[in-house]
Amino acid sequence: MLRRIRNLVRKELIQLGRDWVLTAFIITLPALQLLLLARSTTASITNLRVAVVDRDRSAASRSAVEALGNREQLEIHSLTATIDEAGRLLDRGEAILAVVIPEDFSETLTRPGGTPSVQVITDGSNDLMAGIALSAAREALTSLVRQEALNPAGGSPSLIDLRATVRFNPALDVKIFTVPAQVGFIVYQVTLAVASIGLARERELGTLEQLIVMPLTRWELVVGKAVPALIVGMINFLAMWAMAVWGFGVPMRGSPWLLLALTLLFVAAEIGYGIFISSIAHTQQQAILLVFVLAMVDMAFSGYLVPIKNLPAGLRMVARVVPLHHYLTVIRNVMLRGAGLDVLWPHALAVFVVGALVTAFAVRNLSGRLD
Amino acid sequence: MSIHRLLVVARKEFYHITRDLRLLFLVTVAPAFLLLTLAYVFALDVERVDLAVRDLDQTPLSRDLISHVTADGDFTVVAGLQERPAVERLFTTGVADMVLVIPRGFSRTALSGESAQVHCIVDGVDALAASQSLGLLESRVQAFVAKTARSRAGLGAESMTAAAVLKIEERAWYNQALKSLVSMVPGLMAIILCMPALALALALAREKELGSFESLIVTPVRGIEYLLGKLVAYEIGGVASAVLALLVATLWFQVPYRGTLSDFLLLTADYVLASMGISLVVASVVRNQQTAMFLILMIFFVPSFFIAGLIRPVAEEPIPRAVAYALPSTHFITISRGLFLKGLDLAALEAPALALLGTGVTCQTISLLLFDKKLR
Repeated sequence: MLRRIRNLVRKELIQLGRDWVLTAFIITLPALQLLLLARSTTASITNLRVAVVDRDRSAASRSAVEALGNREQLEIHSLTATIDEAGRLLDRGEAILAVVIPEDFSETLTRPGGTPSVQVITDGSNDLMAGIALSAAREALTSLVRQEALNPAGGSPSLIDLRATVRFNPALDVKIFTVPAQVGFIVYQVTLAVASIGLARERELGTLEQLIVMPLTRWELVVGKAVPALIVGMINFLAMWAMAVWGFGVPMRGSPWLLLALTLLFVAAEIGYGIFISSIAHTQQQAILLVFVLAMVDMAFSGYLVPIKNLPAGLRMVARVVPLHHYLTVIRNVMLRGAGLDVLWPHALAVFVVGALVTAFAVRNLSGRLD
Repeated sequence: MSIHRLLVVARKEFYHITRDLRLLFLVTVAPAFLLLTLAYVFALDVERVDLAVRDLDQTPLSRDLISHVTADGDFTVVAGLQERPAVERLFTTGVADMVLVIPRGFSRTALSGESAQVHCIVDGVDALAASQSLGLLESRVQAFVAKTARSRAGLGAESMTAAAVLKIEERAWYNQALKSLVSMVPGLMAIILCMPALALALALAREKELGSFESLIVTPVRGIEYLLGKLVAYEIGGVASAVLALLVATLWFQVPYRGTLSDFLLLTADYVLASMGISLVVASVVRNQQTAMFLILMIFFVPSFFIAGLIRPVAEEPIPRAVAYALPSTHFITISRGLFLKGLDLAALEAPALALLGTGVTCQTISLLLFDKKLR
């Protein structure tokens, strides 16, 4: 039996190696993607552009503009004369925030009991950026007024002094959070791309029949198809992991062996998914489109772009059967928090159960086709 | 070039799509289905911070502080700690994001007019969330100080807080309530509409892989007719799926659509053209469907989620910025939000529309040259 699997694995590897275009892409694209995504997503959000309509043109209004520009989140893009002009900038997306300072700003500011008002308009079409820009502007303006508001007390010391300690990431470096997740994504994409095609291609090219007439059981066939994908997935993981640790300086606080073992489990589960897709699709085109549907759903529920704990209960249940979600939790916990199996076993168990069920289903599905 | 032969190829491709029911589903219905799923996940309006509290003081003031901090649901107390907490474990198991420790004597110190300390330990792994929740906690605590000071002094609000001195009128255009759903659904349109383009790339790679490409050489069909014929079939499928997604967005999610329908059809066709252009170039380079899938997945699809401006704005750094603007999805996210929310017209969306057209035409020409060479 082992010999038969070995022969099948060898055939698969020869096939993969002969397809040098694909092999070259498998080697280069993951590294490029990691580089691109890490560089695009790890900077903190700065320089959201602000258009200012300063109708006051006084020292006070100028210092308000300066206070806005001094916030790292904001950048003064232009000083415009009218609201309409600022509105056009919002329309075109050239500014995300418009601040209107009225004519009587400095006058009301210096008058005792006067309440100057400032209008802040934001582009709500990206609600997240709008929220960040709004709160930055709010902070800038209130702290300015706090200084300028002729507060005779000069600010009494606060009654409560909040002392904050940041664990695991004292410098609050965004990269440390995002890069391990990107590594997980890349391993996911590569594994699925290799595993989902195998059987569908044999079926489409008509070579599946040849495999059927060979003295192979369906389990041997599945294992033979899985091993090359496992090799590709694991090599990819090692390369990406090394890049994260030595290239991007992500700490490795937990046990590398634990991470390796759990990655193996995850890759195996994803191969189960791949073979499942391969077994229900009639053509490669169908298989690949299904991979994309699955990938979109998995990305959404992975907990990277959107934290899972904020989801409604029904959607949280869906996230529990997504191996990628568990794996991202595992890779972050091991690398950044140094967690061990005592904490991570529920995730490992979930990946195992989901993977085993899907694989069993795929094999059963296959038998219906083979006989 | 003969229009007749072009239409014959388009019809052949239509047969191929409609005969294969699953393919038909994946090309036309799947985008709308995906919008339905993704929009629910991405439409998050509440960011909750799970707080573990260790109150060593146990006085009315300390309890007031806790209830003030958690009053509007941004902070939820998930655990009251009796013993010295194993903070690391709370964070690794994901039980809490933040631990708040109120030391013994807190109330006494605070009421005597001195500065009383409160400790807070936050899980810094998600740096962005951590700094946001720290800022939020800080402002809650200061508001609490102001409130108690006010009530003790028995004074009116205006004399105590600086915030009351300035009136900030805040307004969000295009999305008054700043709802995530309203902003995410138009953005997600760009992601889900890549399905038809992907299907086209696969259809071409398939003909090469199965060898049916060669049998085309002996027919009188020329390269340009062949390519445009396929393009027409999948372009129609793509626009049809966009209309379906538009219906889901407006009828199911109640996202306002403020543009005109003709602009939507035109600009969607423009986007589908550009993404199909890229698909065609990929298909003419690769030898089989698996490679086509791998390329599109790694270069266009996954990066679209992260760098095209869906959530974060497009990066400032030159290289990531250039890559982002090479992706059709970056331009379409601008277009889609412009049409849906800002109610812009064609003139205002000229720049992204032309960028898409440029990508489309350039890529189609390149792939045509590559194909024509092979067909001869």
